[in-house]
Amino acid sequence: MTADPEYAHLTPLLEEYSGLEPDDPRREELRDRLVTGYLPVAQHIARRFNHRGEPLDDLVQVATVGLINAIDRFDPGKGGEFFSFAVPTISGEVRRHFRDQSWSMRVPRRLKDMHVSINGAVSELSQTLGRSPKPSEIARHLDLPVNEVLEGLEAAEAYRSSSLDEMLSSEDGSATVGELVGDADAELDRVDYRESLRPLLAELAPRERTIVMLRFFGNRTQTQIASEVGISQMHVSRLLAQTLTRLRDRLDPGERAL
Amino acid sequence: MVDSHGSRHDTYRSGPEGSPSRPRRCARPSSVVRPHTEVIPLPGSAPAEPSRDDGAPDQDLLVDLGVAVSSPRAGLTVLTVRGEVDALTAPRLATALDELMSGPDDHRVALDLQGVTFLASSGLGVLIDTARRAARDDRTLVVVATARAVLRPLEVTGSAQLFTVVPDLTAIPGP
Amino acid sequence: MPQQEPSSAPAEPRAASVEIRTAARAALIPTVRAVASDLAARADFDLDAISDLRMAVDEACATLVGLAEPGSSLRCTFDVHDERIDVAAQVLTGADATLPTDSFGWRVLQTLADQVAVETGAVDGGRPALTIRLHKLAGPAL
Repeated sequence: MTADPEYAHLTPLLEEYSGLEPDDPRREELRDRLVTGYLPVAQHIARRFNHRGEPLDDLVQVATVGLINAIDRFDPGKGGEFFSFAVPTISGEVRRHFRDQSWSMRVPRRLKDMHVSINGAVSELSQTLGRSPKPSEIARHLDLPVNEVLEGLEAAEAYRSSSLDEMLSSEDGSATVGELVGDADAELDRVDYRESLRPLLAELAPRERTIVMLRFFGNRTQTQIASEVGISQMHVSRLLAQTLTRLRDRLDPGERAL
Repeated sequence: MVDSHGSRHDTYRSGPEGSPSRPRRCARPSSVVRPHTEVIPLPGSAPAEPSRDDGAPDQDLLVDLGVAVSSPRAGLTVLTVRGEVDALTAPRLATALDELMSGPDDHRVALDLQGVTFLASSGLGVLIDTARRAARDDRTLVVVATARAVLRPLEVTGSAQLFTVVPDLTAIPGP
Repeated sequence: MPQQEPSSAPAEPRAASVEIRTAARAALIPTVRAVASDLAARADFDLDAISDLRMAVDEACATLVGLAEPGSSLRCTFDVHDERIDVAAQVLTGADATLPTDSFGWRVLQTLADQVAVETGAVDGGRPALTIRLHKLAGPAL
């Protein structure tokens, strides 16, 4: 998913946005345009985490919060591409959301939703106020009773201090959150590797490269790849294994001995 | 002590096709367990510092700090901490960090504090000592934190500048 | 006679006051700082100020518990005003107990609280005691 050309027109907007004063009246409109423009990225990341027991709508919402944070925090002056900054930020937000799911068994849906809205409100208000918001300000922003915001803030505190695995251990046979998170982690680590992988991928034969890209950045299953590339799933599996071994050796030659 | 740096990581493999090491259930209920995670046996339940509490034991109160070491990718060791780091639990963090910093020095070290809900000055002190040690040994120490409970103490005491603070493990800069 | 608005009452409205007493043990401090945090949130402190107060109260209590007479109590009083919470934390100590004000923890406490002071003196019929008083404002001073 080299999406860069598709988003090229947004780059000047990002630069303009990051140059604005916090109280500049154009901020909001510009941010809306940026969020709308980059929304496919957030949606794409949200979809990667689909089928983990969370409604896709929620994931997109969470990913969008991550996108807003990325837009707010990105500093073009420091160099670097927006994508290499935004993708980990958005994925991080989604991953945190999964971590947070562990309290879904104890905490009512209403509080969960509120947690997401409160997080969004806090980062937005901190920007405009130039300090952290008060519960009453969060309440006004979200049009909620202060009591509910207090409850939400407190719940956010409580669930974090509890054990993830302990909470899930009552559900026999289900994956522990540790496993879920670990799985997501592994997936996200790949994003990190994209930059270092690029030159290595360029050395691969076109078919091998396509297979690797489809599998790991396109999130396709081996069977799907097999039908797209026109070879058997077994063949895909074998090619993937060989290619990955080669890539791995190239990435961290020193680690092979272990 | 387990060798917390030994496990290689297959960053590419996803799903159940390769599951040589399922996450272990850990002895202490509130340690985070991740795949490829080794849990440091924590030194007993007594605080490491001599306690002046000569009353009843604290068994009726939940005081716990989850500490676990993992290596999510080659050359990176992560200490994941969950819970409240205060005068009572800071010695546990100190022990774990000491282990960690004694590891192979070609490993970058990250301290994942995303699950930390409180950080007292005693905990800050431990972190600052570790940062100094890392600087002395010319090692990179990254702190992963997003919650106010961690960021605020770091900022308000001016200690944030001692660390590279990132919002997510994936944001840890490469070697 | 019409109902009087609190603001037009002759005297300053009485602050809401909360006092908790625990055994002077480190394991009970999480409870005390949770109370502090809850009071600050309900007094509409901003989120940083809530965090600061929680940490300041923890620091004060941890310091005092370390100096407390074995088997004695920790007493914490919170006076909630409009834009400020005043905290007094007190323990009974040995005769020669002094509070180290050159420690890292003390410097942190000074940074977190808008004002902090130590009092030594006798309470309860001459028993020596140490008190830390701190004030915390609801948000950054303007």
